[in-house]
Amino acid sequence: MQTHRKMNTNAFLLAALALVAGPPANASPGEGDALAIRAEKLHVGDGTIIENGIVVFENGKITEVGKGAPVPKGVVLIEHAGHLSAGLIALREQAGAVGESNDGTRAVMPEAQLGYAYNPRHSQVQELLREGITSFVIAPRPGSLVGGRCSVVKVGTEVIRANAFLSICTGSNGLTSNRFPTSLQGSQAELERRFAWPKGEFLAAVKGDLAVMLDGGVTRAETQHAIAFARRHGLKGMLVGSTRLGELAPKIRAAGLGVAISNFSPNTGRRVVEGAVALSKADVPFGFALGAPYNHPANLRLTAAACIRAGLKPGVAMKALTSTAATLAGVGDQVGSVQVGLAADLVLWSGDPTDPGSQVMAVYVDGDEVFQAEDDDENGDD
Amino acid sequence: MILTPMLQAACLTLCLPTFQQAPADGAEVKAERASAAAEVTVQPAAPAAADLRIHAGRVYTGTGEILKNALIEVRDGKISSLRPGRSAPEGVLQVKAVTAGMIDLSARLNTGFSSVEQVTEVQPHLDVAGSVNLYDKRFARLARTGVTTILINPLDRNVIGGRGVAVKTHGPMEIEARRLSSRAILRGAIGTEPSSANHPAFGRPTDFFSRRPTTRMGVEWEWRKAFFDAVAATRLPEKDFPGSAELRAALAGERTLMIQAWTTQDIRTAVYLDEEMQREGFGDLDLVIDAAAEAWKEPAILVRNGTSVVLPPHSPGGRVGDGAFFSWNTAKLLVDEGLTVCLSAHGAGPGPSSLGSQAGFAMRGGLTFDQALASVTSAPAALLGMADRLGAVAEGMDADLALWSGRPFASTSRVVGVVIDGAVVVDPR
Repeated sequence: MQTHRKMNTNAFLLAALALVAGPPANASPGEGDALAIRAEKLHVGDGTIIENGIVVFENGKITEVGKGAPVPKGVVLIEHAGHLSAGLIALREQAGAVGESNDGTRAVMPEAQLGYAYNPRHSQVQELLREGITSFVIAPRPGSLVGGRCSVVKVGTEVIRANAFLSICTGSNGLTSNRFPTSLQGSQAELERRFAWPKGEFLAAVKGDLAVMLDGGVTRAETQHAIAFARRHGLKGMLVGSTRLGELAPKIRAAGLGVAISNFSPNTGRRVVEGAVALSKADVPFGFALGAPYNHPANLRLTAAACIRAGLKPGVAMKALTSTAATLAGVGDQVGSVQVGLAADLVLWSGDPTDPGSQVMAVYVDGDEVFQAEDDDENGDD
Repeated sequence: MILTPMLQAACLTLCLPTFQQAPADGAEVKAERASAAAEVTVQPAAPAAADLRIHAGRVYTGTGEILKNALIEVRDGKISSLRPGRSAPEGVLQVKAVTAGMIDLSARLNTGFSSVEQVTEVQPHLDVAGSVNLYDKRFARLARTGVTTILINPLDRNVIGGRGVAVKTHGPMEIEARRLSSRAILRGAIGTEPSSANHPAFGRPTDFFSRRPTTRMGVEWEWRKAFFDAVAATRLPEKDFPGSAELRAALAGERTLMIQAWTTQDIRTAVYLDEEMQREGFGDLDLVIDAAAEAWKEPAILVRNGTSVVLPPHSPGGRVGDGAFFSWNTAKLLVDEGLTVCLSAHGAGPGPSSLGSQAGFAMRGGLTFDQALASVTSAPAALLGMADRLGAVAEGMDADLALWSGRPFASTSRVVGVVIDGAVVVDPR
């Protein structure tokens, strides 16, 4: 960066640099332009991998996928010596909405919409692209009983599903010491009251029209309570925040809930990753929650890799990062798979995406190249 | 493994007297006799063998009786038979002494600040059950001390904290399945604790805790206001508030009101509240004072109101919570006055603070063994309204047992085994 700043003061050098750098090697298509990419391994998103698969996209949508997919005349075919997958999806984030995603004045705000807290141009959002994350669920920070309606947003662009989940904290994460409720029995009494004669968003949740994002709290008892709460009121959606998933997997399955697995760190022990294996065995659909921007975007893939290390099948991990997460967020018909008709949100990897050593080479969102890894040069980050 | 000789023995001891008394069903009896005589280890079509059998050198039944060399049989979580003067059959669980499992009405296994709703000081309508964490390791620690039933109350930061929940210290991991059908107990506090976090609004920015009560007097004001408003609400709807029905139920004697009051002035306040309710014609509270450390100072106040007490754990210097002084002969003095007295360890695990040790300390202060045993078994069982199930070793009672290495409560004895609802939670073998 120092070098760049110096150059900025020198118009001559700057111009020289532009000449040397020239246009990028892989030409980025403009709006509406078609492009085709052939990758050594193409992860479709349903668990299958196509060797030397070709994906063709135009006007932001995928038009052809397959090993010998026809490339229309005049369309540039990029050869990628690596893996290609759909953009990754993180399930519970505050990137681009820090300080705006939890209104502490009221414990229950079902009408609030997180999409309005989202600033797509925020640097925290742009950071996600560097790790291949192209969509995420923007959710309130814990601290409210009912924090609002979570939205699915695309990195750097717009909200693609405004009312994805109603965020509910049934456990101690919904408590604060300076307004109602301060206690678990208080929060439970309030939630039971809201769901006993449901109106508005609560009625939609009971009817199954609005999924819930249930923060099950910290302890096993709280998580168990959250599952029972969902069953009692027939709620659909996913459980977040809990680390006690392994021992509760059958109950989660019986309740028909999905799960967003919390960010793994070596300090949290094996519970999170072994929980993922147990969920997989119990046939519970799950994705990953990164917790951006409080956790580095790389942690999404590192958590998946840690789960694989604990015994999770790489194909299941890859689905959890893409298609299962999209289905849980209710946007499986828009993103999360490399399939005809879906958005051309694509990531080119140097190797297997679930291998922590693999790098993101390029990212496309709606067919536009929005990120490209810099070649090794002396001006790179040091 | 162990089961086979146990089954065999059970078959012998159970079946033989049965068919001596009732030889009507000839064929079936013959078949049984044949199998018994041949000593074949098959399961006869006789009454099912006991789930658990314990042979005890002494069983302190809790009714003043001591049964020597008694054989206790447990079936479906209940004591199915209790017979003294038996030799120990092979493979049976053998211990020196057995008492009923102990009961602590002030176990304090709540989840701290998340167990008390502080949005207002009076929350009679909330139930602490919603905040109980049954996975808390303190339950297992408590069970190891021979405590088999506890009452969990909200943290005493509210004037009226809400309804407590009675549970066994071992059992199903869902609170609704674990909850005992005890008498409903409403919990509140008098003293410095309900006002400890609050402060007046002046001189600093107002916040959530800029509110009443900030003094003992304010706490008392809240109590009286709550009850007067609850009564007034039957005529004036604008006086109504959440939980008023609970307070009216307490006035009607349908709830026990358990108030924490350490010092004599707070004990007075509690009794005066009850007496005021009676004078006003509002009702008569079924009052229990918890942590009544200074009850020894003015026992007459408790006697005239018929108030029961739960005593706090003994402290070596005598100084306990809220600055109260707890004399070691308090239990003795109150029992002699005819009051119902329960002891509590406030949830202490194994060691010198456990409930069994508290009973020993109370004996050091003058209680007889039977009185000490009652104060940790039958007396709290009666306050829970569960004397028909808990607090004694007798046929038909819940199989909640404390197994001791020697004479219970003696400083040289300890709890070596625990049975809760027929399940061996701590196995002495």
